[in-house]
Amino acid sequence: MPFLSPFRPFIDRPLARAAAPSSGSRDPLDSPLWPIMAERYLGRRRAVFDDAVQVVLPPVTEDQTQVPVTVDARALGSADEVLVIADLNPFPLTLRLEPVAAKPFVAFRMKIEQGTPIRAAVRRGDVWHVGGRYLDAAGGGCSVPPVVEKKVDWKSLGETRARVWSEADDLRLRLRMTHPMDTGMLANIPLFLIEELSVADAAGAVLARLTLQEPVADNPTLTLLPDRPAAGEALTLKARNTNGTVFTARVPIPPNTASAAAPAAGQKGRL
Amino acid sequence: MRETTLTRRAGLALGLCATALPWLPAEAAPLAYPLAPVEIAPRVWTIYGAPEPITRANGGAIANITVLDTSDGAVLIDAGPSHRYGTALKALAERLTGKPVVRVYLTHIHADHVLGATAFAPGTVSGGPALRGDLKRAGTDLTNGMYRVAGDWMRGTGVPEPGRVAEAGVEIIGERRFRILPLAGHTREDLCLFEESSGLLFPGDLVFLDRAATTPDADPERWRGALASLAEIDHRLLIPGHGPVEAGRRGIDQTRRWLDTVEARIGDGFSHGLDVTELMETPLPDWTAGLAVARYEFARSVMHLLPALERRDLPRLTPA
Repeated sequence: MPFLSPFRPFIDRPLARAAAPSSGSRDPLDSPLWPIMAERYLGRRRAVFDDAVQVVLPPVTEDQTQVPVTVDARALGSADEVLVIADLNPFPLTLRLEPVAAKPFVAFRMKIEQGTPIRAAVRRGDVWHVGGRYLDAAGGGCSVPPVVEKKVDWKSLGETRARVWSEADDLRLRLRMTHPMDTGMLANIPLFLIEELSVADAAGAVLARLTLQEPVADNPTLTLLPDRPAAGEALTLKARNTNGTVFTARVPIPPNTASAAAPAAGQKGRL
Repeated sequence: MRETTLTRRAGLALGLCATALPWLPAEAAPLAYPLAPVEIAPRVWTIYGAPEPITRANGGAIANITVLDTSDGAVLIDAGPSHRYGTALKALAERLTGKPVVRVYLTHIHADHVLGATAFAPGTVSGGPALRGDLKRAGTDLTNGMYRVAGDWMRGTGVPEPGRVAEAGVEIIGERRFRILPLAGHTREDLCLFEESSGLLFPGDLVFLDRAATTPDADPERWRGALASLAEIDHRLLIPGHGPVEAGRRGIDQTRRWLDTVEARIGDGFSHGLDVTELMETPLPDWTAGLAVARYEFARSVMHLLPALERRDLPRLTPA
């Protein structure tokens, strides 16, 4: 079929997208905004795309004001700093974690303005390791008023619920704070959010330090993996909001009796 | 001379390409739902929904829709996902029965069941007492979401305004007697219909069969209560909201088992400190392999149900 020959080069050529490198300097998500994001948030340091940095997203966006995101860079070992960046959100920078004595891991919920790449940039020394995935979503979230009038539970503002689990070689901390995360982008609702959150041991040594930004969802709900402190039977949480109010809470640490392994095995039989 | 041959060949190639063009842009053809009615009982037809999530490929036609012939006209159980679907459904019902559509019962507010109702006269559309208000409040978001997911299938779709309220009791249409049972659990208002003359039971989305149940607006405790009420009805055939029509209580039992499984898994994950995306990845029991979209619906259910546990059951701390 000679008349097909002009098309042959296109038929035989593999798709360029399929060959995107999993590790390198080219953005695997092909986002036009990435160079600006890198310049703005990563400074002059070198950035490499690295599969050791995993961003885990749900298969579908159920609620754009509460999208669950997990950043897991435990494959890198330790890290100095973790940033979460959503290229196409009005406020791209979502969260900053300094895992002083904690795993480079954080799970949280965020608001999404539209479909966007969601990235984690994990700094080890002078190099950023960047991982990410594209999240599909419609409008709403940051600047579109919520469907049902948002109810703020003012009476329990700052109420903190949390629990610590003992895992094999560290702790697992889950916490939920009752607090709006108002971005200041809705008419007549000024910026009002939890800005800083830290986890310390009983002696006051900081294990993890977080800066939360506007995209973090209302009633911040987080999972962190701090190291087991040498001393003390509790972790101390300290949060500060944009009004300067400080909230503190004490979370007891359960004794290290391999409590994570035993019930996990037992759970299989229950179903 | 040689050059001339090449040019003619190239011209031939171009000509062939040009003739192929009208057939290439298949997407440009008007979208049409291939409604395939199956006669499940004398003069009663069900149009099966695809056992899939709502996608741009299926246009949202994932729920079962039923047409019943009566001496007064056609009665429909649910209206489908879009105006386009409703229009095709109306034509189909008129062709099958040879009569106009006199009643469209909407079982609950979810888009795949109600948005086709705009194709019917509002005076013939009937829903539970809360449906009209709920549609007024949340209908635009319902259609927005559907436009985004299903795209052009949704063209012309608005928010239905049911003109009738279906209260508990019996509504007689022609020779058929529709017993109306207001239940809840899948959503805050699930209208169940039992057609007494034929023994057909329409539980809406309170019953899924061979397809994982959805929980965006679910109250599992009330849902279990509703399933118990449904189990007491001595039916001849059960038409689930999604899945095959059959006699017996397999759908009721399976839906209950799925709810129990999902709740137990999420409860277990919560008690082990898992966050949403971690819990989504935990294994499901083997029996769920027979359910369509089990993994997908489980992931959605984690997003629906885990936050409530966090709000309620994480220990409340006292200030340090």
